[in-house]
Amino acid sequence: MEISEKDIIALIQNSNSKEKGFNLLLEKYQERLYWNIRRIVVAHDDADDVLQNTCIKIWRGLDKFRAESGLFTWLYRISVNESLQHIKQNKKHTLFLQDDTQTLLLDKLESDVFFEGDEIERKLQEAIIKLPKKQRLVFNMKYYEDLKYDQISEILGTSVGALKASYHLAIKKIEVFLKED
Amino acid sequence: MMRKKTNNSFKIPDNYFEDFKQRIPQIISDNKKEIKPRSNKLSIYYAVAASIILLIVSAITFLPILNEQKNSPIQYELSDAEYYDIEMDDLYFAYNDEIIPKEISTVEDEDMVNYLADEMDLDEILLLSNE
Repeated sequence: MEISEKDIIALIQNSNSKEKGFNLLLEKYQERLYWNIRRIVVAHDDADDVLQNTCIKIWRGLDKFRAESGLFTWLYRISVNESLQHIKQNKKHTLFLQDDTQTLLLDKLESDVFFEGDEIERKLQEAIIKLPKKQRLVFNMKYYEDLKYDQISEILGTSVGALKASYHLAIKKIEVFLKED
Repeated sequence: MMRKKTNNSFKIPDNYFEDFKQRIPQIISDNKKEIKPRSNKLSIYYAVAASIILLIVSAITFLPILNEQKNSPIQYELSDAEYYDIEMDDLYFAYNDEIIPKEISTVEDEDMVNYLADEMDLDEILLLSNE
């Protein structure tokens, strides 16, 4: 039987069972966190690094977690922040080799040995990468992970109305991009 | 409207999540020291190496040019007026060389004529000129 979010919170808020709660938390959410991260940073090696840093941030932040927001929302927010931070650092450290996020991520997609999509799938990923940051995040969370607008709103700190508009715009842009060739 | 994507073109290494789970105790024990992403470390190394190579190449390329400029005489562009003056001086001397008889063109020649006139009489001079 799968352990509930409530039970995990109870475990991590008790210093004696904190480690056990953390293990159960990662067991429950690590795959979803990984895929959320992977769709933002694109390459597996980067996603692995970011997932590891996300776990460290979660572990360090467990004492401060007050369950005011949902556990899942809190974890997702950390993973999004870590992913964006990772991209920012990558851009900074390759300053004159790669000039923007899109170029960086397109290169990652091109060189990632763990991407096995066909031509159409590759083109779809290119279209997603070319979206503005917020639209890309919303699109991935809605289209691939089927999160509710309320959840995305909590994770990104954006109103539901703005999220709906972003998602709608993202779909239109992707459709235009796919029809171009 | 686009249909929901169900399959996944992004792959992961075999047993990735099982292996990651095994790393969790290590993550907890090492949590005081944040692990930097590998790719960032590499990027820093590449940036440093590129900077050093750039400095060396710049030094090899520009130092000889700077030394050459330092050792060469100072050169400057002549203005049109300066160039005109020099040209006119050259033309003047070239012209005078042709029209002024050589025998009186210098002080030494004049002295020589006067000396001969004083020392020799007219017959002797005429005799010498006829020889």
